[in-house]
Amino acid sequence: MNRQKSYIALSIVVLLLLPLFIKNQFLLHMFILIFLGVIYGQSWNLLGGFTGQISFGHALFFGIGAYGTAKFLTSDSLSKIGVIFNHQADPILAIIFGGLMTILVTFLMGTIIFRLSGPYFGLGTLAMAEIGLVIAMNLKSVTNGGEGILLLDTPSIGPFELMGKTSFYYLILVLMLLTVFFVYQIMRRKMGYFLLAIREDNQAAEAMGVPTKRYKILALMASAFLSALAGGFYTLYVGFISPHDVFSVHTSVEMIFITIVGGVGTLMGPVVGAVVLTVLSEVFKSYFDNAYLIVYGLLLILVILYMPEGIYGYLKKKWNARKKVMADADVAS
Amino acid sequence: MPMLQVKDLTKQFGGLTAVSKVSFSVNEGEVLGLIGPNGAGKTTCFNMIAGAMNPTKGQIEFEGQRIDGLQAHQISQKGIARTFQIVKPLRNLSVFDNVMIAALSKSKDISQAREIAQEVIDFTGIHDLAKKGAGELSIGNLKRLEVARALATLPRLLLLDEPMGGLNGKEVDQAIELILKINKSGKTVVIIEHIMKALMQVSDRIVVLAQGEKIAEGTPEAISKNEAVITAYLGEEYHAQS
Amino acid sequence: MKKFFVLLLAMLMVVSVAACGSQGTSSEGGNEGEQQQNGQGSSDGDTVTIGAVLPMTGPAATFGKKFEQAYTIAIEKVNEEGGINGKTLRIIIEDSQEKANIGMTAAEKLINNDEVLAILGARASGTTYAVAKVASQNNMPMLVEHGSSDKITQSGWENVFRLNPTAGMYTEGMQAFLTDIVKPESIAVIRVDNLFGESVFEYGTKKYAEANGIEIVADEKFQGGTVDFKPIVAKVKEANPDVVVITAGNENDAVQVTKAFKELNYTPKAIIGTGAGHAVQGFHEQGGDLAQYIMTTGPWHGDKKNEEWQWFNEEFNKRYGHYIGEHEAEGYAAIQVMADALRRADEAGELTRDGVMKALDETDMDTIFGHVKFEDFDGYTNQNKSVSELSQWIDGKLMSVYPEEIAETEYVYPLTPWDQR
Ligand SMILES: Nc1ncnc2c1ncn2[C@@H]1O[C@H](COP(=O)(O)OP(=O)(O)OP(=O)(O)O)[C@@H](O)[C@H]1O
Ligand SMILES: [Mg+2]
Repeated sequence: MNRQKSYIALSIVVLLLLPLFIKNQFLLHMFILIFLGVIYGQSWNLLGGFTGQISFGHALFFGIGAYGTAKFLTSDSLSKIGVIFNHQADPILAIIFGGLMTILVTFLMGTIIFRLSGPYFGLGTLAMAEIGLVIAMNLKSVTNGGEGILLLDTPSIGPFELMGKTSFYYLILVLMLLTVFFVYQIMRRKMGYFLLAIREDNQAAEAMGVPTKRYKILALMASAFLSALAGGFYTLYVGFISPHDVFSVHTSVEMIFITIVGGVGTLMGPVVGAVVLTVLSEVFKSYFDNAYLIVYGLLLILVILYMPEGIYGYLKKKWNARKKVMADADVAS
Repeated sequence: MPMLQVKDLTKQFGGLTAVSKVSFSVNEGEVLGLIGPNGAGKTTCFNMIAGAMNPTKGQIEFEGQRIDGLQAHQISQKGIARTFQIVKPLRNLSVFDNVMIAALSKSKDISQAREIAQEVIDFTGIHDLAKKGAGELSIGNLKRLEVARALATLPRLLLLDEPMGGLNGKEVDQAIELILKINKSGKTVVIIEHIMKALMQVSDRIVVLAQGEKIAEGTPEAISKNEAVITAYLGEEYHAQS
Repeated sequence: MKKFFVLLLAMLMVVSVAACGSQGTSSEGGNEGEQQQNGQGSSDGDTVTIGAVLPMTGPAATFGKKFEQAYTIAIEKVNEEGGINGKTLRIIIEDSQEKANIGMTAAEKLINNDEVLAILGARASGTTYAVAKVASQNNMPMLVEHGSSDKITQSGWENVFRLNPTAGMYTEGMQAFLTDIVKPESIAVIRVDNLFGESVFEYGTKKYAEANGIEIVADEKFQGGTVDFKPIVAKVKEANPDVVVITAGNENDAVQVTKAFKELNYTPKAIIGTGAGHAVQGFHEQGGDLAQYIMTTGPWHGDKKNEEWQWFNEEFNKRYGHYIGEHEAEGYAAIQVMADALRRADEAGELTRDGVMKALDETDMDTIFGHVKFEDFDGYTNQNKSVSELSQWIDGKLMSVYPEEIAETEYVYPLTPWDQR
């Protein structure tokens, strides 16, 4: 246990020092994408992996977070709130604002969507995300419609301008670590055990005294909030959002793949998934030219078919089996 | 005043009346047997008492309070626990965690839940299985896990739905022992069971359902001689044997 | 149930991949070759490498293809004529899927790993903006050849140069025509709901109308892919403007909206598109006679009397089976400008990113897209004051009709009513 802690501390120190040594901006960009992917995966995994509620519509939360952040930074009245704390519109407050908007929406949709279960829940979330897309296209006074929103000014956190890769690297690193820590804390508490019980058997959980509906809504809120953080960061980093960019089914599917390829229902799965998929998609791009999406898709199908527990789950199983064999051998000798 | 009182309990599934105007009561400290042929509505009665389903008509009182219409987790909080006829283990979790989660809803924190779980596991004699995955257990052990999990919610009333279904002779004897031990520890029990020998042994009283209606109620001896019960459920063979 | 999820997932994936309509073709204009090199930008003894970010997969892949084809012909010609002072010019194209974030990754890769000397791209305004942002953070020269949102050259980025007119400038050909010939009192606008439609309106039509006291009696937005335009056109007809200005996302939009005019038998004095869907051959191919006498204002398709223009037009048709339009001309001209800047940077002994940036800043040359010079004016930086023209569909051909200096033929005005054709 202590050994595990020191490994974690060591990796965090390495990640903190990395930008001092990496001069290649593309590499830093890849790290930023990986960290963003970890948040994608953790968010989806909390609801899909740990609570067993398979969503196909997490882009909805990502999109609301992205638009909430953009709105906060570009609207005169909202950004004034930020100015109180800072000399100008504060991106951290903007991201939190996006997160709160998302929580509000999940609060409203929670009671309806959990009337559905299993595949119907999945299709229901898919439909909700499509509705989000349509609203974003049409509610022009708020979202600026299909034109999208451009962030023209460089946001700063206190005196630190969010310019260049390094500052974004640290911002997303902190967000990612907070996300993993947040999910870890949930899962080792009462709530975490309740979520697992709900995933395993909703009826049994109820009989054991778990208020399943309340905990499903809580899980949805927490999961959606994390997606919104990712969306908020996306807005700051890319500087341009449009409905089709952020409410797209691609985003939802990417979150699912990161989790499934890494390992559903494990804390490390989404981390492994984000690293593997981000790196592979770049590698495939350079080897397979414009057919890379097809190769990428085939690989995903193979992983799902032959490693249903994901790469991390698979390795863990192998590792445990080996440990067991070695332990048995010890006993025998 | 009886601990649990069921009045005119009725459940309809579309056109089918699964339970029809059933009334009975359970006294504190007793073991009540609930028997009847397949499809009689026994499990449906449990589902309504435990809050898994709402009754179509009728009312349920527990310790003087109306509990019909409450959700399952609320009823669990009131002090009623149930096991499932078709076992519902949390397959990917360990036996210990299964029991611990059941204890959690009544505990202030995880360490307290662990203590409760440990006690229940010792009490039910599944100590050796604690670290195993619930998905790997045999049916006999799964039935025991069901009981352990129910006990971990610290109930005053325990509803056992066929806790001996699928067990071999030795396991049945162990189960009888456990049920009597539970009852002795002060818990009231309602038990559904098809194994008549075992049921007669543990029950203080028996209620008989057939086709959704209550057809008899009485002591085990009285029930085993009741003509209506013999015709509807026990059959001539059982009559001849006893 | 688990199987159901996997199946649904697989289906979603197939859909997303299919929606991308992956092309599976090589995307190199010249010859490819990973080139790793230290220092600033890549140019070793015999090659000079530049990069481009374009939509090579996804719904906009057809446009990415047009640029790729134009680059191929242009780069071959540059290399046949001696390359960059003896060095071979090559280009690496990275896919953006027409998405801002993917475009960003592509740009990072070109700049940091392929170490190109300059980048071109990235078609759609949103993607171009994201790419330009990355380029400016890396002090990387970027030549924009199509993305037309005015904001791209209004952000004060010294490294970003734009060959094509801004969306606002698209309307300059129309403005001249309206002022000189039509003298309208009212205008109605129908426009696609994206960054392009907004920019054309804000920086073009609206600005012009306000400055000249012309009333905008209707401003209708629609979503790309709309099929039934009758409700919109009926509203416009009701408002009874002198001229209707339409921004269509693609040729389908352009055809469908024109159809609604015909079905409602409504003929304003002029129907004027703003490039895009109104300026591609597909408008006539799909719309047939509907296109007759519809006007469009937009980037000049180049000097059709120019010898190189004519050669490129023929060569393009020979290889790819159709004649050139706005995209192809822009792509070819972009290579002309880059090659010129690279040569001058090389001659100055500064074949580096800074050197190329300096050379681009001093560009002053003729291309098939007209004269190119990057200037700072009216809040723009490094913006080419490229010519915008008004052209008109006449018997299936898009002919330049205004301003008169570049006109190929006489304009037909006012629009012939639908029932008198
Ligand atoms: N959820 C349900 N929906 C529809 N019909 C149901 C449902 N649950 C039970 N039934 C029907 O109600 C009747 C009573 O079923 P129940 O499960 O209560 O019987 P039981 O007495 O427990 O029988 P067994 O001894 O076989 O367990 C049966 O006809 C059954 O098919
Ligand atoms: Mg039953």
